[in-house]
Parts: sequence; C-alpha cells; structure tokens
Amino acid sequence: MITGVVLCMVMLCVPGLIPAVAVCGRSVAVVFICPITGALLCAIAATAEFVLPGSFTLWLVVTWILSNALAIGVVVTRKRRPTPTPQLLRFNTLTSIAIVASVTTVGVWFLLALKAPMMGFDTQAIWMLHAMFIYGGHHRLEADLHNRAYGFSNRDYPPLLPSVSALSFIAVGKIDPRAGVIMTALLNACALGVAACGIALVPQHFQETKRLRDSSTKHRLPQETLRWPTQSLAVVLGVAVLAAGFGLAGEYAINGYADLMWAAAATGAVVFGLVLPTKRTNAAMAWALSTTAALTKNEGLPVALVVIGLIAVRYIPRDRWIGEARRSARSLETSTSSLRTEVRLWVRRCTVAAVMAIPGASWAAIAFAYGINNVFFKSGPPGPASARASATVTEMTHYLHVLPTAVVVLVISALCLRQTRRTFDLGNSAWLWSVFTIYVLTLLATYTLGSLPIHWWLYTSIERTMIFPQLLIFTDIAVWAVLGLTRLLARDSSSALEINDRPVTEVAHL
Amino acid sequence: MVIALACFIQSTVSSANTSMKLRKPTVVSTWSAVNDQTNCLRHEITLELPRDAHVYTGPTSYDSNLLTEYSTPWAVPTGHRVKGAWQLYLIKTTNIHLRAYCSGLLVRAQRIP
Repeated sequence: MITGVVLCMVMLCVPGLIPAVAVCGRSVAVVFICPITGALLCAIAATAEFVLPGSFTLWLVVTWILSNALAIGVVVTRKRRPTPTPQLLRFNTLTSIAIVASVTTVGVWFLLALKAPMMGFDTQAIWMLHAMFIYGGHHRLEADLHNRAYGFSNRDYPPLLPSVSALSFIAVGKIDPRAGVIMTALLNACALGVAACGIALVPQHFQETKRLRDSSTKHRLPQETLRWPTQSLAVVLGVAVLAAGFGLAGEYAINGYADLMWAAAATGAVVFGLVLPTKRTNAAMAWALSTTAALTKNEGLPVALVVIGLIAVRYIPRDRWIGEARRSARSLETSTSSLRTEVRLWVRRCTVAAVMAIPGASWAAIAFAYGINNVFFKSGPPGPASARASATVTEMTHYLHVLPTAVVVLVISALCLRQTRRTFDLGNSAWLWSVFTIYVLTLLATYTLGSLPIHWWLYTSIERTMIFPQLLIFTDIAVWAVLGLTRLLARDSSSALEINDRPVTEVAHL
Repeated sequence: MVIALACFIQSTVSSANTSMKLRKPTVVSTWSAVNDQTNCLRHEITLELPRDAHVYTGPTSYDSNLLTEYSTPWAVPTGHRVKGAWQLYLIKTTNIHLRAYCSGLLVRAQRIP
C-alpha cells in the first residue's frame, strides 16, 4: 500500500507541477501547493465524470492534458521578473531551503501519528463512499449520488478529497480506504504547509526593497540588520501555525476527515490574498486555495466566496480606480458623474469576483441542478431559534479561548505597529477579521436555522467547524509578532544609525 | 510580542501532546482491531451476496448505515425493500464458531421473497 500511496502522490505532483508554477511563480510555496493543484485537477475530473459519460481515469487524463497545456501557455507568456542582486538571491535561496526543511520536518513529525490506523466515522460514511462512487465510473457515480440508500452520506459534499482517494485506489490497484485516509492526511499537511509558507513570506516585500524606511522615526535603516532575525521569526511562527493546525484538529488531521484540509486552504487563501502585499501571484495563490476550500467541504464555499469578494475589493481599490476613470474621462472630454464611476467600480469588482468564484462554486451549482440537496436545511429548525443560537454560542466560546489574547494583541499592535505594517505593504488586519466575523456569523446562522437536533449536531461537529476561526486567530497573532520584532530591531538600528550619521566630532562629544 | 510568543509556545506544546496521545500503543491496537473487524465484515458480505446484487439494509439506523457502507461497492444498496433482492442483517453475538463472525458481529443475507 505504501508504494501505492507514493505513486498516488507522484500522480498528484507531476501533473500539478506546471499549473502550480503558473499560479504561484517561483515562490517556495510551490513545493506544498503542487499536490493541492493535483487534487484540484482530480476534483475537476470527478465533476466532469459526474456530468459527462466516461470513467474517472479518462477525465483525469483529459484534465491533466488541458490544464498543463494552459499552464505552459501562462508560464511561457509571463513577463520575467528582474533578477535580484546576488546577495538577495543567496538570502532568498537560504530562506526557501529553511522554510521547506522546517515545514517538512514538523509536518512529517505530526504525520507519524498515522501509525494509528484511524478511520473516522464520516471518513467511511461520506468520503470513502464518495471515493468508491467516483472510482466506479460515470454511471455508478450518477446512480449512487441519486440513490436514497446513501441519504446519510451528505451526497452534495464536494468531490476534491474523494477524487484523490479514488486516485489512490487506482494507484494501489484496488479499493483500499486506508490509502485514501493517508492521502487525505498528506493533503492536510500540504495545505497547512502552504499557509505556513504564507506567514514565513510576510517579510518578503521588505527584503526585496533596498532599504526599509521606518515611517515613525523617518530614518533609513540598513536592510541587513533586520533581515535575518525577522525572517527567522517568520519561519518559526509559520511552523508554529502549522503545529497549531495539527493540534486544533487532533485526530481529525489523520483519520480522513476533510475539515482541516478546507480550513488550512482557506487560511492560506486569507494569508496570500488579504494579508500579503498585492501581487498577481499572491492573488492567484489565494484564488487556487479558495477554490480548494470550496471544493473540499460545504463550509469552505461561503468562506471562499467571502475571501474572493474581499480580494476583488482589495485589488481594485477605489482611489486607483477613480483616478484612472478621471484620467480617461478627461482624455475623452466627457463628464463622468461620481455615482456612475462608483457603480462601474462595483460592477468591475463583482465581475472579477464572479469569474474567480466559478470553479469553486461549480460543484454546488451542479449538485443543485441535479437535485442533490443537503440534509441540513431539509426542513425548519426543530426547536426555538433562540435556544439553538444560545447553545451554539455557548459551544463556540469553548473553542475561542485564544480570542481575548488575539484582541489584546490586535489593539496594542494596531496602535503601535500600523506604520510598520504599511511599510511591509501588508493588507489591513480588518480584512482577516472580516472573514473571521462573517464565518462565525454564518456558522451561527447554520446551526440556528438548520434542521438537525442542535445538541447532537454541536456535539458531533463544532470541534471541527471551529478549526478555521482558530487558525485565523493564530495567523493574525503570528503576523503581528513578526512586525513587532521588526519594529523593535528597527528602533535599535535607527538609533545606532542616527549616531553614525552625525559628524565624527559630535559622536566623540556624545 | 511576548504575549504572541507565549500563546504560540502553549499551542505548540499542546499540539505535540495531542499528537503523542494519538500514537500510544493502546490507540494503535484499538484502531487496528476496528479496521480488522471492518475488513472482515466487508469480506463476509462478498461471500454472502452475489456481485452487484440489489440489497436492502433496513430502515435508516446506525447498523443499516454500516451495512450500506460495507456492502458498497460489491452490492447495490437500495432505499426500499421492494427494490432489493436481498436483505442484509448485522447481528451482535459472542459465538465465535458461527459463520461470518467478525469480532462480536456477523452479517447474514436473506433473499427477499
């Protein structure tokens, strides 16, 4: 079976490599996003298999060929980035090696828990059953997803992880649920690895600029003073978030559940799309990770849509858009009302968001069109909504004990480190907290208005549905900690620089 | 920054402890036994039923869901008794000498008239 798992990983990584490079360029995150891109291709193949006749293998090969042809086109036509200085190149290489080595080491250590051959309840009832449907070909998949006997199996759940398990069955040569569970655990680790890379890349923009200007002190600081400690802390905290992910998920990280996978992918999407500087590759990474979250579990879809919407707003800022509109209006000698400009701005944002959301929302749309409905909203809530909401809030608070710490860190940091955050070109912390708030409210609404008995529902799922907000909290704390260290070192360096910049006589006098 | 680092140290230690608990020999042996039982039941179903048989596993319950899972993909579970050619039963027993015995459980298939 181990040979089959290795072969399956190769079958994910090899076809996923060029699309991964097309998405995130020369970033170190390619190492960990490569299998995730391969998994996305499997999900697309499974969706095609459901809609059109043909086996999973046939659609997989078609998807591999088409996606790689498209990716090669993107890579070939991409503009080359200016080559960094030899010193920066050496630093970037060493940083990349450090990130990959530390994330892999810690990830492998947590994956050693796989020696306990755990198989979760939902793993058998949902994910492995769906994998068998996909493995069986178009007719089997279509018939089984409409079969009332599988009503307990949440038939509308997205196909990403089942399709990877189906691929593992192909690699092993028979249906082996254990291979599917191991593949799921490996993908969980990869998704957390991508999020960890995102945090480790927080100081990247600062490294790429020649010198850092600390706006609060107005002193130009030598980059080398801050480079190593800041980058080292960023790597350590990235790895710490990875460890936190495994800890929060507990046995769900290794027993074939999908919750850690979507939560880690969505966290990565937030980091790359809403925290790191606005760059084309960061937006593309966020898009790929949002799509992964949406195609992994139903909870991932609303989060992915929110993240994509916020990315569209962040990447098409009002100031730049209105400036461009005014310039073009002046050149055309036409009068453009501000309301019209505003409407056009929002039309553009919505169009971009809608296009980005298509792959992620495709499965939900197809499932709805084919009449595969979920069981959570089959009827109204079986009790008073207020009691359900109260029970949900009580349970949620058990999983948000880090929230007060995060709020303290946020308030202090927002007061003291705002300028440093701007210097790093990072997105405002409000983006991340918006995602957090919207998700928690959506979850509250789902539990309150859903049709399942609330106490049983909370008992069986709240531990898993709260992984994502906790990961977001840890991510925000990690980013502020990196900025805090930079500010601390910058203050020391700036005073040293101030002395050095003065005439020799004055220094002697001091 | 001190608060942030303290928070991460605590979470990392907690994560490591959780991971270590999952590797305990008792956990490994318990799950190995559960998997052996599952594999045994899957195997016995292939002996009890012909391939692609339409099988009814009973009204929705924990046991019927288990039988639906274990009989897939060997057989084709149906949601109605009238559509099934066979009915599967999961029986709890301690008689290890019975046919299709799997660590306290056994499966029985009966043709639906």
